Amino acid sequence: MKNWEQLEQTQPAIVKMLTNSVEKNRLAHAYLFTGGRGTGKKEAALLLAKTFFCAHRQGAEPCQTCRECKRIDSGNHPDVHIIQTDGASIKVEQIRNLKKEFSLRGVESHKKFYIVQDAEKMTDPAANSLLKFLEEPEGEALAVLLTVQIHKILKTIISRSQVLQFAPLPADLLIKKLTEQGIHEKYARTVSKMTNDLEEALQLCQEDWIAQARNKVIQLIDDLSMRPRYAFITLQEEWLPFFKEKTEVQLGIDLLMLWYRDVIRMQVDQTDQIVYIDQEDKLQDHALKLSQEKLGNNLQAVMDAKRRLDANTAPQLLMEQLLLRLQEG
Amino acid sequence: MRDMGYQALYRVWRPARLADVVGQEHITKTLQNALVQEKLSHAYLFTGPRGTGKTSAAKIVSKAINCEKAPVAEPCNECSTCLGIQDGSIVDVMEIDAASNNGVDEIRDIRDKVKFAPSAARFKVYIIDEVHMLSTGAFNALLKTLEEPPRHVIFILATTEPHKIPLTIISRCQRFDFKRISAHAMLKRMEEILDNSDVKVEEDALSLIARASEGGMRDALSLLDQAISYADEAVKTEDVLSIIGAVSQQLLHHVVKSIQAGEVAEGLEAIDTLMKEGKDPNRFIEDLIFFFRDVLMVKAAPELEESLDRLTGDEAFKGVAEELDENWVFEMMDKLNHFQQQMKWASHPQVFLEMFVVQACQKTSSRGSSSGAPVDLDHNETIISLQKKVKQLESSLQKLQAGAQSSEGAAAAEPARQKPKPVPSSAKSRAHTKKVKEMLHSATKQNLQTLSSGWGQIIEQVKQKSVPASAWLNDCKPVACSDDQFVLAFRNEMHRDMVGEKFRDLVEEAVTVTVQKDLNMLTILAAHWEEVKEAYVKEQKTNGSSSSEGEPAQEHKEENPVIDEAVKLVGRDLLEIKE
Repeated sequence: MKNWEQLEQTQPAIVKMLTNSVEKNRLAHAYLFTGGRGTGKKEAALLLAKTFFCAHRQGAEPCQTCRECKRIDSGNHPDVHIIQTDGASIKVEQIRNLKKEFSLRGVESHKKFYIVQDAEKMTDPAANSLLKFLEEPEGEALAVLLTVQIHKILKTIISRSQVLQFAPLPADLLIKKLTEQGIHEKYARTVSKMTNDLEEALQLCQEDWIAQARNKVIQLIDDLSMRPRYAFITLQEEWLPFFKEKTEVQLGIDLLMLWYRDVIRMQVDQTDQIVYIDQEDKLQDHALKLSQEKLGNNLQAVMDAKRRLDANTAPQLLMEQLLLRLQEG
Repeated sequence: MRDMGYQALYRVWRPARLADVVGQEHITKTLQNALVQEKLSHAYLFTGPRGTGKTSAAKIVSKAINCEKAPVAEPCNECSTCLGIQDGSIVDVMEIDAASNNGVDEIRDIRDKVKFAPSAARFKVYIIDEVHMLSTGAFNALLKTLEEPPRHVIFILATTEPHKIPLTIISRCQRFDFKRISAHAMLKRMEEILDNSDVKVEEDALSLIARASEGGMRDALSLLDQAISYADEAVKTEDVLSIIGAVSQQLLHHVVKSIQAGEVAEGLEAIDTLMKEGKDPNRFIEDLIFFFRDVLMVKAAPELEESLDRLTGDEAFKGVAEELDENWVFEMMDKLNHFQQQMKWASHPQVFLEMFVVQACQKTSSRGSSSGAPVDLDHNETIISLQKKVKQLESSLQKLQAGAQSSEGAAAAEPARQKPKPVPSSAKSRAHTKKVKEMLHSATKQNLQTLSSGWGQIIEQVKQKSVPASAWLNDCKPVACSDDQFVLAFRNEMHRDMVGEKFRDLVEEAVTVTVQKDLNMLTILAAHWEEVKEAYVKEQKTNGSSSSEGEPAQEHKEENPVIDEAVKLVGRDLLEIKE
């Protein structure tokens, strides 16, 4: 487990905020941690829990060795509650149970700590019934809500908590870590743009998945620009069998998006930002042929497709429509 | 160890008197009068955005009406009833969270208990918070009680979402709409609070907090709380900026300027730095919208108090505001709104920001902005093409006058213009090559970059006017560009000839419109281009430093004027240096 000092390397502002609050004894009763996946929200929340309970902490740093710290590590602390999604959402029953739990005294201390993971997944009733509780908890309690999309959180919740925005990990760092694991730079770069989480990135690189996916995308783009009529056949024979699950289609579209972004970057000569580093010739060619307006439209088309996918459109129809739109420019 | 309960500022400073409910004078005055005259209604509905004082007002009213000194305009907060209500020991004032007690059963329970007389206070007050969460059944169960409750009962409903309340409920209550609190009022309240503590906060930081909290007092106090915890000693503007993830005004100005100048590259770079600093793209879009809003406000009503506030002490803003054209600002806001909507649901918000920059720059450059001077931009393109046309007409006129001679009189206007003479192709090629060689001395990498990034657009423009012309153009690419000439390299001689002779004007016109410079076209075969390039580099080598501009060789191995020159010409990325 990390301590504050280690976390500070990636999230200096957050750590400063929290440790200062602890040292000044100004810890708020509700925090909302927001930021992309893999930015260390949960780590910070658990660390805060340890600081909150630890009997031997020095400054803001918990000792990591006492009973309290160890039990938080193993997830066995009776006064630390973690609410997770039950199925697809967090239900109002869960919040009610939580409240009931809080109306009792703490098992060992008089303090309680709760973490709501994926807070944006709270149903409307659940979120609303958290409101009063969040504002004026009974006894000494500290709430940490974690979310990736703060826009899905009720304004009334946001205004009751201190919002801490976690910065995305610098891509360079992730690329470095990945290459250290023996992953080729061109794949590392691609993956680093798709996720911020080292674990997830490594998973994408497993069994050369990312290499194959990249090739499919490049092939599709090639067909699209050179032999538009074949693009649909490629889609049918290569693309769809490869990107089967919804999450995979999602990633495929992300890869397409990265391609068009690269073309724009090429056009304005910011080559150090490019993801498809082995395809510079093709990118250059595209950069020369497409106007920025068209590129903008293409990107828009890709993003639209991505949104539709979230709304459960059939992947095949979606991709075909996308190809048509890309051809039109 | 943490002492028993540090309380957030907004809880400590929850207003205890109606006079402390900031920015809602229209409501507090009415309530105070009603309290003094003992003309309180039996049901109230408080609505308004978060953090405007709905629940606070409800609590104060419940105390004031039960205060032992009643009738009074404000609760005394000293008598046993006031204190009892405050700490919850008097059960006659009930605060119900409708979100967790939203069923018919809970409402029935209220209905049954309403009958009983209050135990300690004069009135039973039911404060039903978040009332929009009641189920339809619950609302309907409440209707009759709400209309004619016993004399000793007062209902106060509070909600942020009045549109979810049935009309039958609304019509039975006196409704009070709480307004967003103005930045000014928030500032005053925050100063009041700070006067009572020993924390120092910069004034700019405070106004930043006031702006960021969008009319919610609780948001403002939360932020203030956070800023105090974050800051080492006195709270500075930077502390607040880093907490709310907002960007400094300088960066904002920078982005606006580069968009306005159509500099895609600069805009994107700014966004990259933004992201590296971990700023929130959503926040940034919002900041941009507010920035443009301020610009409009200052432009439209410079005498307004708010405008004056905004302008004082911010010279940079004044400058930018004066430069911008109103129509352009409207267009930008439109775009920003569009992207903001899309961004909310996206997992790659940064991409939308980049798209905004690209598209926004697009608009500007294709319309040919002359740095925001309030000229009607639409006409610029037309003017340019008209100028071209006039030139063409002049030249053909002179051609006619000069009889069958192929020389063009328009050379006066465009001295370097090439003459499509029917010479044998080899000789012609040589002539072309010579011209290209000459222009290479003044060519720069930067010019080429501008041309290349606009090339796609040039092709499109040509295509709009002539589809065949664009087809011929597909084979070539720009390879060099100076301040008044550019070179196209063709792989195929026929293509070269067609473009060079038939479509010259078309292409030059499109180029002029796109890069905003009057450029003459030179054409060359790709093979020849390679030769010319090499020869040029060699020539530079023999000429030595005479033509080098003493540009210091950067990170590369040696200080070689030849390489410098070559770099200047084609850019380092295309060069391979062999010892």
